[in-house]
Order: sequence, then structure tokens, then C-alpha cells
Amino acid sequence: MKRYWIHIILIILLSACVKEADWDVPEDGLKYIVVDGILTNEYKVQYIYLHNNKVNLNDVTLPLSGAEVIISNEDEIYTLIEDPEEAGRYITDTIVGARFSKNYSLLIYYHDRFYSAQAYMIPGETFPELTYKKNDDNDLYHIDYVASSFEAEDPAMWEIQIDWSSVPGYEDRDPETCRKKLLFYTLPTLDVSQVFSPVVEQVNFPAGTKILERRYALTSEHAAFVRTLLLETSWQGGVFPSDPANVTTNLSEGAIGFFGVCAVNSLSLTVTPKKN
Amino acid sequence: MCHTYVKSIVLSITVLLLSTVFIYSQDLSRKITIVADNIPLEEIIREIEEKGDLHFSYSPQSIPASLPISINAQDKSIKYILKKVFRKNGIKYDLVENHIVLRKPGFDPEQDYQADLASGKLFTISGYLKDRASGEVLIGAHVYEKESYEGTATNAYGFYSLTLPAGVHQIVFSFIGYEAVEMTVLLDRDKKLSPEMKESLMTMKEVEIIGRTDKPLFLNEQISEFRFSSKTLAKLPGITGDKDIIKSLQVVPGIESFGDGSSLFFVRGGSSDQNLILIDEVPLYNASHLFGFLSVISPDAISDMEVYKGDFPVKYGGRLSSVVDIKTKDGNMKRFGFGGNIGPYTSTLSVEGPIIREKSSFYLGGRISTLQWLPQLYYKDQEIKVGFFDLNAKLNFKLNDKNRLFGTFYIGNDLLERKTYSSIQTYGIGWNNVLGTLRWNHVFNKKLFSNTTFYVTRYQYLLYLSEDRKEYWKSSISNITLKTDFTWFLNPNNTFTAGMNISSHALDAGNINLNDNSEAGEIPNYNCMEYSFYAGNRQNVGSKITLRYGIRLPLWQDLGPTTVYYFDGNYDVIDTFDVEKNAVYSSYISLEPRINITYQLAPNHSIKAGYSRTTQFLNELNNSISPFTSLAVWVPSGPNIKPRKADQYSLGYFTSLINKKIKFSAETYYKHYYNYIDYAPHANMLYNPLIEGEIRPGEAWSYGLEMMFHKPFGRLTGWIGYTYSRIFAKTPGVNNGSPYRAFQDRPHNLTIFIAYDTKKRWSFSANWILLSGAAITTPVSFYDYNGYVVPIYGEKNNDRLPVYHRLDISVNFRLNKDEVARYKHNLILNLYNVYGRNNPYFLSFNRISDPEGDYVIPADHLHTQELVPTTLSVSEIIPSINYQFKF
Repeated sequence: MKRYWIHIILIILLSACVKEADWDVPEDGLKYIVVDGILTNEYKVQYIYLHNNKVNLNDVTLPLSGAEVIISNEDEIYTLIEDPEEAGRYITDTIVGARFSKNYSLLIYYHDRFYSAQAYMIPGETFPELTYKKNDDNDLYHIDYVASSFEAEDPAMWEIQIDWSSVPGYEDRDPETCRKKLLFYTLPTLDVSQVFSPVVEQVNFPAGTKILERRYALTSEHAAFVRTLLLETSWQGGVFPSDPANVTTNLSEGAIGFFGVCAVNSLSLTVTPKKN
Repeated sequence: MCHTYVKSIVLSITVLLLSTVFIYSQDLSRKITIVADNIPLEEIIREIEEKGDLHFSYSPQSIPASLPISINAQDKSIKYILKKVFRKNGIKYDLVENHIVLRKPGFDPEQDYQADLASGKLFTISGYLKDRASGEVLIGAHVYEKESYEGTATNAYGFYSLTLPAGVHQIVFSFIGYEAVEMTVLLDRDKKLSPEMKESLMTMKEVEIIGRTDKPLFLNEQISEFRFSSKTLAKLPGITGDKDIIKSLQVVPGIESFGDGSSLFFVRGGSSDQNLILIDEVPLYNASHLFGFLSVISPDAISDMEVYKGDFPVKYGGRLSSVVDIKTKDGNMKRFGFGGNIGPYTSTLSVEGPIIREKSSFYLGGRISTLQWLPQLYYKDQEIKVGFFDLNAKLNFKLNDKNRLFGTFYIGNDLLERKTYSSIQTYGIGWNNVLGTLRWNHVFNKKLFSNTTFYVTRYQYLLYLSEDRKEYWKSSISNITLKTDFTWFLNPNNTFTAGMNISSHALDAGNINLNDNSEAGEIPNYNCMEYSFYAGNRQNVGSKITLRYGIRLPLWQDLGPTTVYYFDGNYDVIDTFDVEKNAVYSSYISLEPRINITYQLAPNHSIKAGYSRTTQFLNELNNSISPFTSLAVWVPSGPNIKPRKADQYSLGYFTSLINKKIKFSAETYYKHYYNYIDYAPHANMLYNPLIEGEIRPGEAWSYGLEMMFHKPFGRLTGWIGYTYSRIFAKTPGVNNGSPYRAFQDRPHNLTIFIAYDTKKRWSFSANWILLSGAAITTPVSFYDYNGYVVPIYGEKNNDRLPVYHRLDISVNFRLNKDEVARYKHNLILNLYNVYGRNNPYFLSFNRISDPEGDYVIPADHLHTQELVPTTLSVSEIIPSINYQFKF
């Protein structure tokens, strides 16, 4: 009974009641070009995604095919081609890496219109390894701490790739079910919505899991975009929801999304067994 | 001759007394204590009147009023004292019912009295109205002459002054919830009457007011005003069984609740920071505990609460939408007592009593959340800490007949910490209010009353960034004020008020303190001075028209040291300016005329019309649409933020129905807001030196109709209220510059409140609220970005949440069989949201359903998961049972 009361009170005070809603989206029929791409300093085939917005929440992404895409800086021009294996994915035809002190421009030509964005890169930083923690009620682990969410300087995005497909006991499973990608952020801003943001799904993994931790250095413009992205996604619907508004963009001519250029630092680790 | 005169008075008084409801009878053998050393006779007379519960009649010319008297009568009969004081000094006295008639041999009082009558000479009755049991003053009580209905009401300090022609008058004192007192007064000189009124048992009644048929309530009911007595407050159901003063407001037509668990409210479309909440005249900037589940002031400490929805009296200013004027208890001047409330969520305890009987008193009350230990039991690793406390103390000194001194202190503190699974390791929130006030009431003479107040108040909000709370973000607002008000009861037809105040404000718009006590950034602080002057009059014009008019003149100055940023049309910084200490860099002045007129159409029918202008210099910046009080940042008007102003026009109709048992009022209003504040999309409020650049000023307009049927008396009391209200805004840079409905636009609001006292020990109350859903912005489509599904919005506030409705019930059982028992205790069962209505306050499209069936934010950005629209609501049913006691 005591536990029952505690649950009630905590639900009242902290979580509130979350219920599934049957809500019709009042669509306006407008179509937008969405840009999703980050050029990095890593030498690899660089890519960006182009697609359209979708009417319903769970509609599949609508790739944008047939666009002409160019990325350039003061010295170089890269013409991206649409990946023959994945519609809407535009890739460089060679291995390239972004460089500091260069201003990059993205130019998209589609249906007789030009869309553009500009971005630049700031230096990356090395970082300490994340920490993980054993669950109280089983032998699995979860991410405990990645980085401070607030940092007046040096905003960053942390991409955590987790893979336990080769851990003994999991080899027979579909490898895709044993891989996850988590994102964390360090931002120079504080927001009401960030405080007591909604509960996030907990991703559990076994000892022996390989973790690749990648730090993307964000420019102030990129950090500002990420802030609004989180305000409308991960932080929305908590105790202090903010007034909804459209996520910012650095694209011109009504295109949405963001084109960024980031220095990436990474490290990898393997989850070793430990006590709680 | 003298004998004839006395006989005629006796005859007159006897006839009049036949019709009285309450008569003081005198027993001169009763023992009292009078100790004086060379005190003027007039003062001795006053002391005997007060202690002996009797009244003197004399002509000032007939006795030596300034004659020094010395007497040491400890616990002696009144008769003995009269002999010692009067007979010894050659003054004769006769007892005529409750009057002691004084005369000096050789003086002809009848001739003098007849001369006064013939000349129509006016005399003034003045004094305080008090509760008989506690000595607490009664605010807003009526005092009137029974024949002519000339009358007045006690002011905020229980003082009244009524000027009438010489003669014998029947004076009625009435106050809701108290037995009316009717006294026969021979008005042959200025008199001081401070009767004590007895609380009526069970039913709330105001005997004389009900019975009156030929006059409205002195045309005294002010437009857009609502008063809660402590008795009414006690009847309203509360969310946790503890009565809640701020949530009580939500059942008043024209005042709309944000929703469950919220202390925020909107008055006639105004935003929540446009409400001025005063505790003993001191502004309170955040009136909530536990994010808004409870109000900061314990209801046990309240003696009176008055709410103005517009047409504020001129003494109030600084906010656009409403004034909630809360008066705390002075403390019992007659005996010690204690009281309290024990419940599952909060517990309160208060003690009060005289310091010197009848001269001074204290009140000390505290409340603590009783749920703070619960999370620790369940979450043994102490991941959640939650709790609050508040404490209020009051001292009250009656220095003499002309001077009273009050001191009030309040502190309230909230803390909530939660460790979450996310990149944010520990987050905690805390806020606190501290205020202190010193008030001095001075009666200059029978017609001139003054109150001078000095107060300090500080509110701060903290967001803890580290578990040890050494790193935190903090914003604060504080002010120091000296104010003085004068009330001049010129005659029954004119009551002048005038006053001024000087305030010094200091605001911190949110800085981060790091572990090493350094500040992480440079968010400019604000220092401001505010000067306000006002004057007004309540004037009766003939018997059918009452005018209230006045003017208020506030002046505002912003002073250094600070850094001022100047913005261009795109809100980019174009210049900065470092201001030196005490240098004025911005100032505003505003003229606020206010007038309202009441016209009696016919007996029991009146119409009222009003216009008022209000100005607000302090702005709470917050773009959260949470019903909970969140991290507030207060900034003043300055070079980038012009003062907000509002013009309000209102028109009302008042009548009484069914044998005057039900009051009906209907009121319509139109309000125009200038420099209405909205925000840039995703405005950054918490840690932003350029916060002023996030503001988008515009204009707004609201209009509505409020209707109310109110049954204030009898065993069954309550009201039914309906409000239709709209508010729209037009802001450059928001919604493409097109008009949009404001967030607080909720057109329909129906409230029903019923309270029933049985003849035995049970009492019941219930309220039901029906309210249009809040205006919200919903997506028109979505797009994918790096594993996120991002909403795209069209028009601002294009949609509405579902209709809000809720029923609350409270059942009170008196445990003491004897209603007038010394120890009173009750059990109170409270059911909040009885039928478990799910009233959402927000809608989002970003959750998945996890294997346990909980709705959570997806963490994996590699694989697509099915998202579901979800609504957030605070609670379904909240039961509580409280034990309340009073001794």
C-alpha cells in the first residue's frame, strides 16, 4: 500500500500522466526539401541525405531523387552523386575530408530551383571515455555519463555506436537488433524544457559490447540548430514544455534541415564486467 | 430642566430599543482595571468605554475633557471607578441603558443638544470592528445608519468613519458570517465605537443586508471585485485536502485556471505575470509550492482575500490584469490558541495569542510537506528529493487608540531534485520567497486615517547543475518599498484616498554560479526605482449614483551599473553601453486615470460602468507553456522593453433575486493591451545576456462576458458562474505578423460551487469546472533528421486541447459534539477530480511505447520506431483525508 501511494505521488509530481492520443494532423499540403548532412574532417566518402517532409508521423521517409548537389570551399568543388543503392543519399565520388579555415557551401539544384547553405568547421577536442553502469535487476549495462549537458564554450554532439552482435550468446541474433546509435549533446544554453525533460528509453547491452564514441565539434550556429531540434523532439513534452515553433535551418529558399561541417574525435572501448 | 432632558432621552431610546436585534446591557458591578497617572479625562472615558463595554454621552462643553486624572483601580467595579473619576471631580453621571450620560451641575445639556439638532450639526462615529473571540479586525464590514442607510465599510485595517447629523441613531454593524450588531447611539459629539462582533454559528448570514429592500448595498459593491472571507475559503475543496487560496480564485468568473496542479491563472485574458498577489501589502512573485500544486501561503494564516479583476482602486498599480490582496491574521488578542492540519501531503501548525492582553498579539504558523520522506523510502539511492516548507509570523501592537503597529514575516522554500538517465546527471530546482513588512496605522483624527508600510521582498529561482548544488543558475527579483496611504472620510458622501510609494527594485536575469564561486557569464543585472503617487475619491451623488474616480501616476527609472544592449530591427546587437552606478539610463512616466460609476436603476437593480488604465514595468519572461511555475526570469522595462499598458472598459448589471437571497451580476469588458509581450521562436530565456532581444512586442485585445448567480447566505451557499472570454494578439515577427489567438484564449468557462452545512456535524462542498481547452500549436507535417522525427508547424495556436472539466468534493465531519467546544477538530475528506477526468495540458508527437507499456523518448537513432501522439495530464483522482484541529 505504501509503495502504491508513493507511486501515485511521484507520478503526480514528476511524471504526470502520459496517454496515447488519437490526434488528426491538420496538414497544410506544403512540400519542403529537407537536408540532413554533416561533412566531417574524416577522410571517407562524405554524404548528405535529401528528402521531403511527410504528412503523417510514421510515414516512411520520402527520398528526394534527381537533385544536383555540389559542396565547395574556397579551393575545391565536390559534385555529389546519388547513391545507386539508396535513393536520396548523395555521396562524394572520392574519399575526402573537410578542412579548417575553410567555408563550405552546399548547393542543391532541384526542379529549376537552387537551395544553398554555408557552414564552417571548428577544431575538435579529445575527451574522456564515457561511463556505463550495471543495471540493478539484471546483468546488462547502460550508459551512465557521457558529458556535461552544459558548457559555455565548445558545444558538441556525442554519437555513441553500441554493438553487441559479436558478444557470445548474441551471435545468432539479427545483428541489426544488437546495434544502437545514441546521441548526446553539450550545449552552451540552458532551457526550461531541458530541465525535467521526458523519460528517455534505456538502451541495455551486455558485457563485451563494443562502443564507438564520436565527438562532433559544433559551431555556434550548429549548436543553435541542435537546441531547437531538441526543443521540438527529445525535450518536448516534459514537465516544462516550450511553446512549439519550427526548428531553425541554415538552408535558403524554404528548404529545411541543416548542413554542418564538423571535426570528429573518436575513441572506442569494450564493456567489461563490473559490479553495481 | 436636566431631569426633563434625561427623561426625554430615556423615552426615545427605550422606543428605539424595542426594534433592536442586539442590545448591550450594562452591569456596573462588573470589574475592570483602570490605572492612570495624570491622564486627560477624555482618554480615561475612552478606556472605560472600551474595557467596560459601555458608552458615554456628553457635550464636550459640559465636562473638563483635558482634566488630568489619576486613578489606580485594579479589578474594581465600574461603579467604583465612575465614582472615583467623575463624582470626585464634580461631574454627575446617569446610566441610561448602555449610555452613561455625563453632566456638570449648572450646564444645560438639553439646550446645547437642541441647538445642535436645529443647526444640523454633524458628528462622526469612528473606530474598528473586531471579532469578539480573537480581537481580529474585520475588513469590509458594513456600518450604516438604519433609517437613512447612510453608511460606510471598514477599510483594510478594520477602521471606519461615519459622519451623521446630531441626534439619536440606530447604527448597524454587519459582516458576512457574523451576527449583526445594532446599537442606539446618541450622537451629541464625535464618538468612538469599536464593537466586537460574534461569529454566527453554522450558517453564514448577514442579517440586515438580506432584509433591506429599498437600497442597494450602499452602491458599495465595486465592479470587477470579489471578496473571500476566511469562512468561504474554508469551504472550498482543495487539491490535497489543505485549502488553497490561489486555486480558490479559479472558481471566480473571469478567472481561468491553467489546469490541474497549477497555481497560474489568467484574468480576462491577461498572462499570469499580470496578476499582483499581495500578502499584507507585499508583492509575492511566485505563489506556488511543488510547481503549483499548492499555494505558498497556508490557508490557516489568512483572514481575508479580495480580488480585483479590473477597475482597481487607485492605490493598486504595477500589474495589468488583477490584484489579489491577501490579509493575514493578526493573532488573537484575547487568549492563546493553536491549530493545525495533518494530512498525507502537507501538515500545518499555528500558534497565536496575546503578548499583552488586548494590546498586542502574535501569530506564528508553519507548514511542511509531509511527502518528502516518501521518495526516499522507495528510491533508496535517494535519486529523488522533494519538499517544501513555509513559515509566517505576525506581530500586532496596539500602541494606543491612534496608533497600531504590525510586523509580518514570511519565508517559503521549495526543492526538487531528480537524477535521470540522460546526459544530464543531476538536476534540481529550488525557489524561495522571503518577505518582511512593518506597518503603522495612525488615526490622525476621527476622519483621517493613514497607513505607512515599509517592506522588503525577495524571490529567487535556482536550477542546480551539480549534485552538491554548488553549481547553479539563479535568477532573482527583490524590492524595498516605503509607502503611505491616507483615507479621509470627509463626509458620508465623500471618502478620499491618497498616497505614494517609493520602491527600489533589483533584478538578476539569470546568472550561473560555478563551483569556485565565479560567475560563468555576464548577464546584466538591473536596478530600478519606482515612484507612484495617487489620489481618488468615492463620491455619492444624490441617493442613486456613486462615483469612484482617481488618478495614479507611476514613474520608473532604470539605473546603472549595468550593460545595455541595443538592437536593430532584426534583433541583432548594434551597440552596447556600460552604464555607471546610479546613472539613469531609461525612464518612463505613465498617467493612469480610473473611473467607475454606479447607478441605481430601481430598488435592487443597479448598473455600473468603468474605465481604467494600468501600467506594468516588471515582466516575467517565460516561453514555457507548462502549467507549472517554471524557471522565471524577471526583467524591467527599459530601452528595449517599453512598459506594458492596458485600457479596460467594463459595464455591469447587478440585481438580487428570490427575496434577495441570490445576487446576480453580469459584466462585460473590453481590454486593449499595448506592448504586449510575445517571444521569438524558441526564445532562449535562461542564460542569455541578450534576453531582451528575444522579446517581440505587439498588441493584444480581449473581450468577454461574465455572469454569476451567487447565494452567499444560509445553510446552502454557492454560486454558478459563466464566462465567455477571448484574447487575440498581433505581434510583428510572430505568426507572420497575422493576428493569432493567445495561449490563454479559452472562450468558455462554467463554474459551479455549492456548500451545504447540515444542522448537525456534517458539511459538504463541491465545485465543478468546465473550461475550453487551451490554444496550442500542432504540426501540419513532419520530417526526418538524423533519426529524429521533427514537426513542422503552420499557424500559431491553430488547435485546441480537449475541453477541461473536473469535479471536486469535500466532506467535513466535526468531531467535537459541542459546536462551541474549546477544542475543535474535524476530519476532512477531499476528492480532487472525482470522476478521474484526464485533462491534458500538452500534446506531443515524440514518444514510443516501450516493452513495459510506458511512453518514452526513443534513444536509438539507428532504427526507426513507431511514434505515438501523446498527451500529458497531471492527475486523475487525488484523494486525501486530513485531520484539522483548533484550540
